[in-house]
Amino acid sequence: MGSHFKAVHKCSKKITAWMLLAVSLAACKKNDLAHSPPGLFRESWQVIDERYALFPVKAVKWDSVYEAFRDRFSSGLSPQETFNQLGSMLNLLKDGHVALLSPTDTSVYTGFYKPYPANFNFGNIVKNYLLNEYKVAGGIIYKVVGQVAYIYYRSFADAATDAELEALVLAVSKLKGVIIDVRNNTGGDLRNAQRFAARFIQSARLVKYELVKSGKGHDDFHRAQAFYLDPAMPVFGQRIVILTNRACFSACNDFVMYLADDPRVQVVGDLTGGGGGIPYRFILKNGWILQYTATRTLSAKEQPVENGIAPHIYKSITPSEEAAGRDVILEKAIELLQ
Amino acid sequence: MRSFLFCCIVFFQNAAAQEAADPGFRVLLAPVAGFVSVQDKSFSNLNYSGRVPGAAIDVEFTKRRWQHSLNLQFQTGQVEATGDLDASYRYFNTAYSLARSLGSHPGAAMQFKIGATLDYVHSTRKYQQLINNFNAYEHALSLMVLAEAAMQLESRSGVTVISNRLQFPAVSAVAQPAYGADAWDVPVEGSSASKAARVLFVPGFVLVKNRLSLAHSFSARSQLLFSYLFSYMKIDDKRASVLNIHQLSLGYGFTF
Repeated sequence: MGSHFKAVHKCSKKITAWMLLAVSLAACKKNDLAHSPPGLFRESWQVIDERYALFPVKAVKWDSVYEAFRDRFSSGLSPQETFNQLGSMLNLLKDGHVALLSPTDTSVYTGFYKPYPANFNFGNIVKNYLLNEYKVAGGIIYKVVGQVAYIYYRSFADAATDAELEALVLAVSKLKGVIIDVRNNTGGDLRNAQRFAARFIQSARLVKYELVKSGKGHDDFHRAQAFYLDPAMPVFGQRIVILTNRACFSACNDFVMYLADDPRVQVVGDLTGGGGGIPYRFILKNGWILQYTATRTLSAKEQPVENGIAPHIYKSITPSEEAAGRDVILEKAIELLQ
Repeated sequence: MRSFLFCCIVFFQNAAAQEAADPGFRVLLAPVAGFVSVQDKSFSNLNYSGRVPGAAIDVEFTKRRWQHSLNLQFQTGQVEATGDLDASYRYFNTAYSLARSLGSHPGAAMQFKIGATLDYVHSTRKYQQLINNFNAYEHALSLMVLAEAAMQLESRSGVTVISNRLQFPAVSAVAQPAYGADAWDVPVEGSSASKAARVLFVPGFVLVKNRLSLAHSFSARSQLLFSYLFSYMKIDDKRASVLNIHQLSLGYGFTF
């Protein structure tokens, strides 16, 4: 009886050991697969497939992308090669909000502005138009010249306080008009764009609709939500010229959209870079961050703004004009306000 | 026959002792050492985990076979994942339980209880490496069933009670951000917690709590309690999330 008990006990210990080994091996295998190039490819593809909001306006067949890229992610791929291949796959969406971030590298689509003329040279503006003198209000610089003020907001990642914005509006309130330069403003915090825009509208207005995904299907959206912007007193009530180029993206695109329909406003320069929609982030199994557009933005007239907002007056700076220190877009704005 | 008589005598002695010794109100204060592992599938398939200290207050009232208890817990801390990814974590739980002794008399050495719990969990995470969609929360109000087994040991230094309480939800009302509506400025329909609340049953929502306690009473009025609580919460809906919480607490109880 005793030896039988010992045998059973020994056997159960062996079974337990094998079970523990099997469980730990299974856990390792699962973990390794998730971190492997094929695992990362599947995870990234699926995140975009289920969460990306702009499929209805992008000419991309995402299922075909899976088939085209599946064989590129072999298990022997190095982390850098895996990163590069994932970056190539994501670039097919042609969306400046879509990005892949690792601790050492970033892959982001830049085709919305890089192939186009820069149409902006800040050094020329400071040297030849502001004569190296200007005031600073948070992330904004400005200068009053005669009856016109030039206001440059470099990035909506930089905030200006309510007090700074109030002082700015009071400083320009008696002028004939202001030039708001948002060229090369690639966005940032949308709240800064809204707080700035609120100083240039005279009454509450519908400025956009936001469509949020409601499920994993490409066409699954909650009902469009209207977004109203209220003026923040004091507001500027005279004429406004907004200067744009292709690098005006995301929150900057929204800012132009908020004001472009106002009859007091003229937009001069190039098409904006687009970037309608709010980016979210997803952390992949290996810790890399996948950024994607999670919402769709429509203008107040329910038009998509993903591909940019057209100016009222197209204007471009030639290389020879830039070399001569001229900014013909700014000159056109000054002319319009005279 | 003699053993039956002996059992009857012991039973009535215990009963008489218990009638006299209903402990009344007991208040217990305890610092909590916690470890949590959390997975938010809206943000990542990674598990974030970390130590999250906190505090707990328990109030108990026992009258004959009925035990009323109110528990409050709060925990806060940082949870981390691979590659220096982190999130700030907060957890608040309050529960009211009503349990009734079964079979043996409350004064007996071995006791069993069954009852119900109204349990509310509020858990929030703020993910540092995310933009726009960095906030996650769950509100969960559950009606749970509970079962408890307790063993009482007497020694010269006092009375020790070892107990294990298991709780499982019957029905729950759960609120999370609406699917896709994580950003601060996207107020989609039903994105507020009250409007987003929906009724879920197992397996859509699972909340299992198991608490193993060791309580030692030095006197009629003072008690030292050591407990280990394991709590598993899983939401298997459009926004899937899993919380595994381990808590160790050592508290001091007063009886009024």
